Amino acid sequence: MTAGVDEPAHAGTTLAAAGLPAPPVPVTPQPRRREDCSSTAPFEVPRNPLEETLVELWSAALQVTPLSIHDDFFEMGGHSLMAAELLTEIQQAVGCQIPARTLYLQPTIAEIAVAICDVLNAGQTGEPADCAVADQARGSSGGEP
Amino acid sequence: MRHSHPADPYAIELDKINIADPFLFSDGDPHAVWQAMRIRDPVRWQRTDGQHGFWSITKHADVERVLRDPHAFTSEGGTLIALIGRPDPASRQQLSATDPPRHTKMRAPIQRFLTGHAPTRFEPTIRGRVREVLANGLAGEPFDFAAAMRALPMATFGASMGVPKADWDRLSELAAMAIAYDDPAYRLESGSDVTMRRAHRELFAYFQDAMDERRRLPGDDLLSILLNLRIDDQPLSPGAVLANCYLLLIGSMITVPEIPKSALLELITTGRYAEWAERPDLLDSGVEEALRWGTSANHVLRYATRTVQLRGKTIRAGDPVVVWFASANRDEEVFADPYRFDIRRSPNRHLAFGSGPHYCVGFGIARITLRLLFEELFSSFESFELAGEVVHLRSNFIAGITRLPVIGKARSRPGASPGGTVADHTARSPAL
Repeated sequence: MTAGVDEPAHAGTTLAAAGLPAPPVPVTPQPRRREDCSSTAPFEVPRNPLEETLVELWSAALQVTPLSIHDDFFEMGGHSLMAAELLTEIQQAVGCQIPARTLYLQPTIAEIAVAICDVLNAGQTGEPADCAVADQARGSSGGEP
Repeated sequence: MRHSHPADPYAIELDKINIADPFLFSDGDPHAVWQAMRIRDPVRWQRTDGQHGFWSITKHADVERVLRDPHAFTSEGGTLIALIGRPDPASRQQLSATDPPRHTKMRAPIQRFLTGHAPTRFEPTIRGRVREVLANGLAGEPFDFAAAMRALPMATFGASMGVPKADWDRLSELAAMAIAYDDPAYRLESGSDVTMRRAHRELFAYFQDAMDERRRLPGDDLLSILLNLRIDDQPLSPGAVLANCYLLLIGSMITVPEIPKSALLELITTGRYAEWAERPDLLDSGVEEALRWGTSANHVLRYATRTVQLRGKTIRAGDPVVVWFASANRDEEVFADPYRFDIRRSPNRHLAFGSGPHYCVGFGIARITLRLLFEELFSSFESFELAGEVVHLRSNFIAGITRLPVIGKARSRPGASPGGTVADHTARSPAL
């Protein structure tokens, strides 16, 4: 066939865009700075050890540094499959079961810290220091969507 | 999507058609477009925007050629038009987005479950659900056959995944949002993208909690099988388990509910309901014809891994290639009188379940559900008529009907409950 009007305009774009040849491991993001992401959240550093742990786990999963505790997991390049892995890691790190809806539907570190404290308090196994700060967070993030 | 009887393959200006446009499927006539493409340009490049496009494959033989050669046409770059231009996170995680040999190992235990004892085990549940969803129609009042059919697949999905019945309706609703996010019936006010994301996240959250629970309390169900699955001694990652739960849910929501809708609509509009309803001996061949006729999954996407020549066109490595099942199932070279719903059609080499290694893993349980559904329908209802406007689904992925208001005339059988009629009918169909 000669180059016809219905020939695709090749510039290697489709190949690259499709992530081909197929990667041998799940698609992992390239390391990025927060400034290069589309986050609209205010920047705030972790306020307690629990949030510090969460920031570390998130940064490793998303490959983004630094992270604000108000960043939205999905806005920062996360997707549902990645969330599944991350949630499992969080549960292992904090030693308790958190409802999955927390990460999928309230996807910020501040909100998950609150959820973890709620679970820990309910089970009476919480670390008071962390949860006191999370109580504060619950108050301060009251105005957030 | 309308199942039309196009007449003139040259009446369409193909250059003006975007075959991926969801509006074509809700308001237009895709069969007329596919017919024109099959006859005039069966391997056709469709430009979607400045940068992207895809090859449209519309002939039966070419669709099979693409699907049966996973080395030349990979599933690992994404499998739906909606994913063109971005990497698929489910690549090599989800059964449908994995090539052999990994695919073969992932599929084996799922297939064993679905074709082994599951169909017999779930038959009472399916039968119960079929009666339940048809019960509203027995009073002779108008009822929405589309809504009734939407409630049907949970009998197979819910039962085989071990999902509690209390969650079935919510899961159906979320699955519909995830599949048909462009359709006004399911789209949230904030738009299609938000609808799709919301549905995905709710479903993944649901399955994640179910997965955690099943780890503690394993059972004889598909979720436990996914959790125990090992490929080269490695378990599936949590993301892969969830992606496969999602796939099985979506898979169950396509063929089982849509095939009865498109078949019933055709039988009503052509006045041929009784012809099939009076012939239980034609149940199996009729179900196969209903599958060909409705072909609920419109398309699947592959990426070429090397240069392939097809009907004089050069498909290059990296090109997206879309095969259109519904077009293949109306191919004049394979099916005599393809626009006729013929319950006696034989042979019927339809591709409604696909072809090659990714042939629908739920084919067995889907066929059984459809047989039970039509059996019950025919033994309970003497006739049907339309009772309002039929609304077609806005989706390039699913050939669907969102609203099918009908009035059914129940068979008069003094003393016979709807349950009794099924038992009578089953006795006539030992094949089940």
